[in-house]
Amino acid sequence: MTSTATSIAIDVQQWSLSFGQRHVLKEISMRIPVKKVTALIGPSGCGKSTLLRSFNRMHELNNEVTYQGSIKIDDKDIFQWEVTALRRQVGMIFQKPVPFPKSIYDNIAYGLKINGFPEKEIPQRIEEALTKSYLWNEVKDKLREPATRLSGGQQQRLCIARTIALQPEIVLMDEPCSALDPISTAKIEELIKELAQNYTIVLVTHNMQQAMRVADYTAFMYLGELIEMDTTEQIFHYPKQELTRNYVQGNFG
Amino acid sequence: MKKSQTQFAEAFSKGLLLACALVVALLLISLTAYLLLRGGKVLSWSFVTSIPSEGMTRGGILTPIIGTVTLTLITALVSLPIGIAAAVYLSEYASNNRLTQITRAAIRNLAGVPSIIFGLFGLALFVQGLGLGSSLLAAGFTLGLLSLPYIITTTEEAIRAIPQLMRESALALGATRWEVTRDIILPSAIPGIATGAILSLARAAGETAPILFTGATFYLSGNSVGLLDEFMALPYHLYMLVTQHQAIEKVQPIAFGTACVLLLIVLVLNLVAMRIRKKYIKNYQV
Ligand SMILES: Nc1ncnc2c1ncn2[C@@H]1O[C@H](COP(=O)(O)OP(=O)(O)OP(=O)(O)O)[C@@H](O)[C@H]1O
Ligand SMILES: [Mg+2]
Repeated sequence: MTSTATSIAIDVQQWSLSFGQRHVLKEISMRIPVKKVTALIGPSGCGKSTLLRSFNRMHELNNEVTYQGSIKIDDKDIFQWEVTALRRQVGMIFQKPVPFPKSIYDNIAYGLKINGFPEKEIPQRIEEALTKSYLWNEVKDKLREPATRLSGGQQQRLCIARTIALQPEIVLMDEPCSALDPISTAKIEELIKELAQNYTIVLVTHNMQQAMRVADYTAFMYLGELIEMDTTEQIFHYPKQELTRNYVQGNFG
Repeated sequence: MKKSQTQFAEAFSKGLLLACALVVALLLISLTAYLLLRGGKVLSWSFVTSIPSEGMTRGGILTPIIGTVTLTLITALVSLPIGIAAAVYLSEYASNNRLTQITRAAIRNLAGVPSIIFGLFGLALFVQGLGLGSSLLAAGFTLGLLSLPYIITTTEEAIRAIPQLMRESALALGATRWEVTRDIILPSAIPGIATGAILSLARAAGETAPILFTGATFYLSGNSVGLLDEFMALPYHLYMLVTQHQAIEKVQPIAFGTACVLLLIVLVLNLVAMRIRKKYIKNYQV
């Protein structure tokens, strides 16, 4: 992958991370391109979520965690960012959607308010975010109802809406479809492709078909190391590493 | 053979549980019925709105009602802010080290300390130490201390029931930890906090021992309340009438009437707790 400096969204150099004595990520170096979908694949426990959560400094709650190396976003080391500003710039969607115990409207308004968006722009931004996440038509008549009454798939789209309402540059997604039925999954995949026009997306997935369908680039991780990263086409059809080939062909372990 | 055995076990345990529940319900019902039977005839509007008269053999119980209500209010004002803040600190901010664990264990143990000990402590600290004298304030502080461990424990449990993912979701939107606590954690925990708070206040309202030597008095002529004055309280009034009064025959109906009113207050508080819980659960299932 050759890229000019400006088209790199996340620049990871020699990144290692441990939980106490347990080394979970080992000297990972990768460059995640701007406005593309990059999939992270690899067997369970290889460190995909841990790497993803490094990008928005989500490990900071855990005081057992130690790291080495550097991660740069917008040419600035993530530890030089103010953490709340970083997280606004780098949104995150979790495996299981967790709406706040508020109305649909307030779920989105909340992020806007704490990030200081002007009060009078909020309704407009909420409508935009819901439209972009293909939820507007389903909820426009019940914006004041509790968000917990939505279906799982709708809740996940609401979580996406509340993230993109902040207009981040990067959206991290950790197995966003694993708790959803096939139809909701298809909708989210559609949405991911759509979002990639404006946002850089990093998607952790266990579903190879999903990676093939939506990802421009794919990175294969194994036991805390990055084995190979290339275009999705290359990874799935012409992998350079034996390990990668075995994994994508499904004869692993 | 095997199947009918498990079926029998199932039916047996179900029956046993049902029986236990019935015993509890029956106890409660007979207790209430007994109190109503003995004290019912004095219950009237004027009973709760007039002050005791003629050496407490006549008149109502307005003075102790006012005393108990203000006392409970002071207890709430003291224990709720401190208790909730302590619980938030313990569950959201304190790192899980030895000191935190010891603190938590100490709080749990405090909940088991007999209430008379709290009374003695209140006497030493508030009545004498801080020089509040035997007063409404000193008794309110003492009951506040008594309620703290319950409020901290129930609040912490309510907070702990909130999924970690909820916190992370808010943090991921750029919220600070304080914003997460204020806007997400506390509102989600309100039903649990409110229930715990009301139940511990109801308990405090019915306590006699802690106010015995910190502020309750057996008789006041007027019905004014001063923070630094002694006061009459329902549970103490009841205790007094039943055990200390010479004209026991005359005051017994009043004593039972007082018990009914006390029970009613506790019942109403419990109903309020249930209402809050229901309202929040309906609107915002977590
Ligand atoms: N908070 C933690 N404390 C200690 N070890 C952890 C912690 N979180 C993750 N780990 C360990 O780090 C390793 C990587 O975990 P991670 O969640 O990143 O894997 P993953 O690739 O996302 O797996 P999955 O596909 O199952 O989600 C695992 O061995 C896991 O046990
Ligand atoms: Mg994971």
